[in-house]
Order: sequence, then structure tokens, then C-alpha cells
Amino acid sequence: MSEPVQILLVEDNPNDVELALHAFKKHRLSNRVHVARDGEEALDYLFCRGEWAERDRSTGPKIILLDLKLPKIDGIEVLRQIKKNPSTRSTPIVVLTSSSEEPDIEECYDLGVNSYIVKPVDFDQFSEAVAQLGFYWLLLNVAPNFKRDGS
Amino acid sequence: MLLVLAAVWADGQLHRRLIMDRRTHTFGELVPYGKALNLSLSRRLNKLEALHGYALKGLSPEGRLTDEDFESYAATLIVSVPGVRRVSIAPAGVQSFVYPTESNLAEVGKNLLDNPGPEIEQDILEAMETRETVLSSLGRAEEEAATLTARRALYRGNDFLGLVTITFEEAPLLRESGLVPPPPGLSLELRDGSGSILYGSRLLEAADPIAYRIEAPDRDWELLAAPASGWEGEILPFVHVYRSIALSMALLLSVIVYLVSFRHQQLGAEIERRTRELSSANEALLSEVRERKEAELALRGSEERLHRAEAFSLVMVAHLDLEGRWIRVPPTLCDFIGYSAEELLGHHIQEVTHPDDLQADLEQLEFLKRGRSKTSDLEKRFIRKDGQVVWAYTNRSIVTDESGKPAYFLAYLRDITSEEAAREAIQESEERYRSLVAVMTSFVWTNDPAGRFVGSQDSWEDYTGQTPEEYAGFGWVEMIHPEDRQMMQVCWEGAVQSLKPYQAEARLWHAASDTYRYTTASAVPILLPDGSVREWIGTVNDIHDRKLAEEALRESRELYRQIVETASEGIWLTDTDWNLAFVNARMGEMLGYEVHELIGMNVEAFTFPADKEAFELRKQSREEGVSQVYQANLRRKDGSELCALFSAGSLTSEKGEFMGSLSMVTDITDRVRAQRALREHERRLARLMKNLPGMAYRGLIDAHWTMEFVSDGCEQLTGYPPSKIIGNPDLTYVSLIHPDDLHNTCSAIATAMKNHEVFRHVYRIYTADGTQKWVWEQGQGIYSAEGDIVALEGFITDITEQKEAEDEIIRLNEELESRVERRTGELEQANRELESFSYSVSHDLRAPLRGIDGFMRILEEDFAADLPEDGLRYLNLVRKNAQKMGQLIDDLLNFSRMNRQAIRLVQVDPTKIAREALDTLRDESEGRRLSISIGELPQAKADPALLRQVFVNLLSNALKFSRDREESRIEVRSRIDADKGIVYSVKDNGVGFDMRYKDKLFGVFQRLHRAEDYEGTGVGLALIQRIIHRHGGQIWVEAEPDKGATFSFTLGEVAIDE
Repeated sequence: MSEPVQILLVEDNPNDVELALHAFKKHRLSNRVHVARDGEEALDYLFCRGEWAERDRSTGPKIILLDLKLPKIDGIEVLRQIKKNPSTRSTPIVVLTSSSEEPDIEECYDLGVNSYIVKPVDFDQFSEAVAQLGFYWLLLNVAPNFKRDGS
Repeated sequence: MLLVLAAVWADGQLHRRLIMDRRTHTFGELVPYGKALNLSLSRRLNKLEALHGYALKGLSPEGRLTDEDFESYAATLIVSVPGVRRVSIAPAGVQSFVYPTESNLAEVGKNLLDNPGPEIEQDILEAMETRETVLSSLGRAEEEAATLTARRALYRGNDFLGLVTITFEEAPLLRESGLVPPPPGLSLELRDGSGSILYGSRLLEAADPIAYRIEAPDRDWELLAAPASGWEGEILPFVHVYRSIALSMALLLSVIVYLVSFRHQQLGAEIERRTRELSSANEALLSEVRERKEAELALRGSEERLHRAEAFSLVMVAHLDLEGRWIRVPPTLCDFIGYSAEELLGHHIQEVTHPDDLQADLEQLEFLKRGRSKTSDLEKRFIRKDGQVVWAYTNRSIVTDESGKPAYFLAYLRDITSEEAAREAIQESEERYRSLVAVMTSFVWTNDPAGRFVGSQDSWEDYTGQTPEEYAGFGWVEMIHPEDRQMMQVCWEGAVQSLKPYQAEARLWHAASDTYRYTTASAVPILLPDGSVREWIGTVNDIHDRKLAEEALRESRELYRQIVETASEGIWLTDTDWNLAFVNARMGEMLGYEVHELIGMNVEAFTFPADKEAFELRKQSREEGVSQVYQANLRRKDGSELCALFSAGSLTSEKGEFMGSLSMVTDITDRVRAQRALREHERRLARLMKNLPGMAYRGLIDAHWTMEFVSDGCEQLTGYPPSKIIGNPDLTYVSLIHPDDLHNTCSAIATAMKNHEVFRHVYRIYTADGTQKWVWEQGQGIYSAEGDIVALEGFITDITEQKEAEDEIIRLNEELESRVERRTGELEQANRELESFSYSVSHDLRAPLRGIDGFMRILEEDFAADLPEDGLRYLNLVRKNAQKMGQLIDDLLNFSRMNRQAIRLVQVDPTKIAREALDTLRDESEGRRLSISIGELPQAKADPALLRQVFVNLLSNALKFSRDREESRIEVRSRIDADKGIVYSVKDNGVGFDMRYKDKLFGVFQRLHRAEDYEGTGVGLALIQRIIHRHGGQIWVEAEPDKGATFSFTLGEVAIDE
């Protein structure tokens, strides 16, 4: 029996995965992170399908960090599926983006994403942001039903 | 005895001369009778002419008359000619129409061609042959009054239709001529052409009568006259006087001689001498007496001649030698023929005789010379020296010497030129009145002493149509016009009482014309020896026509007087010297003179010097008898100008001599002035029209819109000259309009006309050479006072060039639009590509950089202890480069985003925005000595976020490049520039730069400083410039190395959007 997963990181870039995990680790969050390397894997994991059919859905995740640019099923689609499914709808999602210029950000908000982080080149900043996020969502355990309406 | 012989010789001479004078005198006496006879005869012959015309017109080939009332025609025809026995028309010779019928029953139906008797037959044959009138005195019976018959054959073309005949009594003819009763002292004889004596006693050849020719149709008649007492008897008293004086002288002389020789024989020589003296004195005395007597006789003769000359115009006596050469020409003759005596004497008479009369003239002279006749007379023409033809009556006889041999011709001449003309005039007037008259001009009646008509009054009956029963007693009063009866009665009663002749004018019923006619009635009482009245003899003169004519004349005179006096035209009449003889009041008024002032003035006084030549020419025209209508200017009394229209004609005498000029003058001063003004106006208008770049027109509202007027611009516009368009229903302006535009144009015009509006319309026309033109028309309807449309006026101009230019612009615009669209499409495509590129850059380029930085950081944190000092430093450099590259990418994305982002203009407070911007730069300013002042910046319209970015970048730069100063001084100010409006500026005291490189300053990635001195990506200023430009503003910089820089910018009123 594994411990409940606190964080689902959906990220295809191994550098970014490693850096993120490094940051989580630094802030003692690493053992509760599950990494999905593409959209399909992320959805399988979340909906306990395929490889993850045996998984107990109640084990999380409590928060999802989602990169938008993913192989197979892209981030937007993943987001849409999550928000469509009642069992996952209330799970907070933080979108990780390469820049604020990404055209999908608007759509993300429309689909009910809770926050987003621009992935800076400066690792320190990134580390800081990830850490803050982790704390914020995991530790304060605020009710996940927060939703932005429109704007 | 010699004396006696001399006296006898002189006696002979005198005798001849007296006879000659006597003959001239007698001829003069004969002429009036001859002329009257001519006239009376021709009046009767004219009736035949009229009858001939009537029959020719009215006679059908079947011998019927279209006019059924032949009788009333005939009655009318002969009513003015007394003594007409018979008027007849004989179709094909049968006398079917005879008037009056009762007295000619024997003649009715008589065939004149069927053995009418030898004399008549001869006449008829002659009439048919000559087709002329044949007058004959044949066929009269001894017991009846002598008659004459005139006949003429009727021909239509060459077809013989019949005969017309008039038979009339000779007696009235002779009475009218005054030959009955015979003139006292003259023996007369009238011979017809065949020599038969019509009237008078036969005058023997020996009586040597004077002859006057009477014109008859076929052969002329002769009226011969001689003194009843013979030529000798006439001159006897003169001869006796002469003879007694001459004989007494001779006797006295003889007695003296006898006494002297008997009583004083001794005195011998003395007495002889005395006797000789006496004798010669006596001879002288005798000759003196004779001369005096001759002179006296000559004087008397010339007195007589003078007398005759006065009475019968001029008589001239000339002598010709037997060859016909002038040997005596009196001055009067010289005047008459126009040659001097010297020119005539010795020359032949034929040299001055008219060629047509020459043969008769010479024949007569020859006859006289051979003694075939004693005298001859001839009306002949002379040709004057000046070429004029004159008529003369000549009577010539031959004068014999003592031996009885012809010595010379004696010729009496009389100027009858004017008589000849008068005769022609009389003939003419006779013809004119011939068919007119149906009225007896006068008649005679008799009354008893009380005024009753007794017995038959034929003339009265004829005139009034009353029967004897009706007019008997006082029945005649009924015929007097009721209004005149009382006056007549008073008049008549007065006369009866006073036994004095009376005369009265009254209207009398005239049966023939069925009206009352004006007459004068006069009557004289015929008294018996006891002083009582036997009867009244009266005449009635029909004066109706004269009275009416007089009245008409008076009315017409009055009318003319009124016309002249009240005429609105001036009338003037000049004499031959061009002095005014008459002017009417209006003329005086027009010239500013009183009428009496004008009379006698020369018309030249009214002529302006400039008109002198024309005036002279007109004078000449008048004098040549040419009438003219012309316009001229006259000088009024006050010197002003009178423009007048003249209608001028000449007055000429009968002979065609210029007698003066008559002009009707109309004052047209105002008209001329108005015309001048109008012409000037028209000239201006025409010039204006001519210079119009188009065509002005006036069109009629008819089926074709026919042009009444088009200006000269027509030709340039349509290619047709105005003359082809104006008033030409076959080539109308409307026909030039492009078929596609016709309906629109016409309905636009019709609508405007209906609403009384001005219309403007653009359409196409085809010009004469077939090219198409665009025209612009403006026009409007012209309306009568009643509001009816009468015409269309307007202006049409060629706008083809403008129209083409306009079309070109539209075409270019369309092209431009499609080009813009295409370019926009291309741009949008480029933008999309750029966006995806930006995305790639932000996502894909940054990812490896993050990796480099992240792992370097981990290396630094986790393995720092294992690395040497240099390794750590390199590690740090790698990180810095990676971060720098990240910044570059971010700036670049920012900049490109600026190009695409929509800007939102609102009213902003730049002061506040500048302060906020400064606040965000706190990090950079920390720990430095700063003097930053932000002035009051006026409000503006801008995108607040973008304006903040501008201030952030500028202030950031200012702080950055002044950080080496001990104190950084930065000023944010604004000012108003005349050209640019509000100018904002940020000034620092930093390192500044060389202005040579200022153009590079605003370029992307352009830097003027080394990166190790001043960090930065070189995108900041480029971004600012982009923002400012998108606001419609400008940005510029002034700087100097080491002296700081000032960036200034403006914000345009309106932002320029994408």
C-alpha cells in the first residue's frame, strides 16, 4: 500500500521533471509526487485506467501541476477531462507554462484552473514558486472547490 | 396816176393778207364744233363697244344670252345718249334681240345676212371682213329724221357669232355739237368718208372752205366751214376804207396841181419848186398815211392774233418755200420747236418733223403745190432740239404771186401738245364712265301758273315713274321726299306769288334706282304781255352723285385734316429749295419749335454735320422722285438729338418735275435708346455666353424639346453649330442623349418642372462625331404669369474629364482596397506565423535554458564543496548567461506583443502614472543619492498600462545611466510646443551619448554602451518608441556624451490602431 499521492506532476520535459522534483525534495515534498510523462498517462492515472487500473482512487492526488504542452493528449484536453469528471473536478490544478504568452491560458481559466506558474529560467525562483505552491495547497488544505468564474 | 396805181397795188397786197388772217380766225371758230362733234360721235360709238363686249360675253353658241334681261341692259346702255333708235344683237345675223321692241317690230327676227338690201349688205360685209366698227349714214328715209347706223361683227376667236348694231338719230348729235342751230356767220358742211353730205349746204370748191377732220371708224368725216358772206365779204369793209382814203388823197392832189397851174403860171420856177416840194411832201404824206394805215391794219391783225392766241392757245405763222424750207419763222415758233431762227431758216421742215408724220406732211405740201387742194391741215409732231416731242396743229395754204403761180406756203401752227394730252385724258375718263351711268342728269318740265302739271311730262314720267294720272295737278308733290316737301312748297308758293324764278334743292324719287336722289329744281315764269304768268318752265338737275361726291370730298378733307393734325407722327412738307412749307403740330412738338417758327426754315438746319453726306444723298433721291424709309437724327431747337424714322416721298408735277418732299416722321428716340441699351446688354450677355465653358439654352416645351436658343458653346459641346440645333425638330438636343440615360434625364427634368424646382443632372450624350461625353446640366422651367410652363432654360457643361478622373479614382480605390485586403491577409498570415514562432520561442527555447540554470543551481548548491574556486566562478557565469538569454527572450516577446496588443485610450493623469512607475523602480534607486522631480503633467488620453511602461523604461534608463554620478538628477517635465502640442520629457544627468548614433537608439537590440558597463537587452527604447507611435505621438532624444540625455515625447490626439 502506497501512501496517498499529494502531487501529480504532469510534465514531459525530463529536465523540468528533475528540477521540479529537486525543488519538491528540497522542500520535503518529494515522496508524495507522482509524475506522469504525457496526457494519456496523466488521465490513466487520475481515472485509474490502463496501467493504473488497480490504483485506489481515494489516494489522491490532492493537487495537480499540469504542463500544457504534452505529447499524445495535450494539457488543455487533460484539463478538460479532469474538470468534466465529478470525481476529479474539485482537485486543484496549477498550470505550469513556459511563458505568460501562452495562448491557452485564457482557456485554462475558463476550464476552471486554479492558478498558473510561469516557469522561470532562474531555478531559484522556480524552486521558490513550487515550494510556495506546495505549501499553499497541501498544507493549508483549503477547500478545493475554489473556482473562478469567467474572467 | 402813179399814185393811184400804187394804191391799187397796195390794195391787192392788203387783200391777200386780210383773207389769210380771216382763214386762221375761222379755223379757230371751227375747232370747238369739231371737237364737240368728235366727242358726241365717240360717245355713241362707245355704246356699240359696250354692246359688243356685252354680247361677246353673254352670247351662247346657240344664240342665247346668259343675261335674260337684255331690255334693261339696253335701256341702261342708251339712257344717257339721246336719239338712239335701235340697239340690236343679231346672233348669226338674225336680230333676235332688239330694243326698244315696240318701235322696231319690223326689225325683230330679221336676218341681216339674207338680202338686206345692197347698201346694208355692203356695210355688213365690210364689218365682217374688217372686224371693225362700220359707221354708215345709209339707209335713211327722206321722210324720217336722218339716222346713222354703227355695226360691228362678233367674233369669238375666228368663229363668227353675229352682229351688233346701234342706230341713232343725227339731229341730237348735231345739237350736242352746237352745229344746230348753225353758228352765226359761218356756212358749214359735214361730209362723211364717202363724201356724202350729212349736214349743211354744199360748199363749193370755189368757196375755199376750211376743213376739220372728224374721226369716224372706217373713213374720217370732214367738217367744212367758210364765212357765210364769203371770204371777200369779210374783208370788204377794210378794203373800202382803204380805197376811199387813197382815192381822196389822189383827188386832193390833183385839185391842188390844177389850181396852182391855173392861178400862178407866172411864178414859174418858184411854183414849180413849191409844187415839187408839195408833191414830194404829199408823197411823203401819202406814204405816211399808207404806212400808218398798214401799221394800223397790221396792228389790228396782230391784236386779233393776240386775242386768238389767248383764246386758242398760241398761233404761229410761218412761211415755207415751195421746197418746204423755212423762209419765215416767228420767235414763238422758235420757242416751240426749240431752234433759233438762224438754225431753221433755209432748212427743210422735214428735219424737225416726227418720222411718223413725215409722209403725210410731205404729201400734203405736194397736194397744195399741185393745186389739188387749197388748204390742208394736219396734227403733226415736231421733234424739238432737246429731243422732246411736241404736237402742233398746222394749217397750210399756198400763196400765189400776181400771176397766180404758187409763190410759197403759208403755215399756221398751234401748240396742241397739252390738248392732245387732254384729249387722251377725256377719252380715258369717257371710257371709265361709259358703263357707269344710268341716270339722266337733267330734264325739263312745265307747270301751269298755279304750279299744277298739265298735260304729259315725259321726262318727269321717265325719272319718277309716275303715270300722267298720278302726277296730274299736284300729284307730282308725292315724288318729293317727305322731309323736303314743306320747304319745296314754301319755295314754290313764294315763287308763284312773286313771279320770280326760284331754285330749290330737294330729294326726288327716282324710279330707275328705286331711291330718292338729290336734285336742284329751278323754274322761271313765262309771262304774257299783260304780265300774268302763262306757264312755268323748269328744269330738274340730278345732282345726287355730285352732292355725294362733294360730301365725300368734304368728309375726306376733314378726315385728312384731322389725321394730319392729330397724327402721332410728325408730318412736314418742303418746297423745291428744301424749305419747310408745312408742318403739323406734332412735328413742331418733336423738334421743340412752334409751328410758325418752322415754316420757311431749311431742313438743313436740323441736320447734324456728321449726317450731312447722307442728307445730301437723300435730297438727291427725293429730287429723282425716289421714295425712302430711313432712320435719321435731327437736331432739336435745344440742340438735343431726335432719333426719327422717316417715310419720305417726292411731290411731282404732272410733268414729273420735283415739287417738294413730304415726310412722315416718327419719334423713335426712346426706342433707339432702349435698343442701344438692349444691344449693349445683349452684347455683354453674348460675350458672357461665348466664354461659358458649356452651352446655355432655352428650349420649347414641345414634343421634341426643340431648342429656341443655344449659345455658341453648343458647337464645342455637341459638335453641331447652334444654327443646326436651333428650331430644328429633326435634330434635337434630346436625340443626342445616350439611350441608357434618356429616361432618367427626362424624368428628372419632368419632376423638377412639375415642382418648380431647379434640376441638376449628369448624363451622357453622343456628339456629332459619335464620341460619348459626360455632361452636367442645370436648368429650370420658365413659367408664364398664369403658372404655365413656357420654356426650359439652363446650362450644360462637359464633365467628361472630371468624370473619367472620378472613375479612375474609384477604380484605383477599389484596386487599392483589394491590394490592402491582400496585404492584410498576408500580414495576418505573418502575424499568425509570428505568434506561433513566439510560442515556440517562449516554450521551446526557454526550456533548455531552465535546464541549464536549474542544474547549475543544483550543482552549486549540492556540490559546491567539491568544486575549486574557478569551477564555481564558471558555474556562476554559465548561470548568468542562461538567465540573460531568458531575459532577452522575454523582452523580445514583450516587444512583439506590443505590436499586436489592442490599446485602450482613456483620460489619464501622467503625473500619477510617472510616480507609480518610479515606485516600481525602488530596487534600482536604493542606496543612491537621487534628486528626482516630477512636475505637474497635463492630462492626456492614453493607455494607462502602456504609458506606465514608457515612464518605467525611461526612468529606469535615467537611473541606470546616471548611477555613476554622485547625485543622480532626474527631471520629469512637460511643456507646450507650438507645433507639437504637449511635450513630456525625462531628463537625466547621466553619461549621455554621442548624437551621431541617435538613429540607432530606438532600434531593437541596439545598444550604445558596453554590456559590462550598463546591462540591458536593447529592446527598451524600441518598445517605448513603438508605444508612442501607436499613440500617434513622437519620441526624440537630445544628448551629449557625459552631459546626460533628455528624452521627449508627445501623445497624439488619436491613437493609430492596427
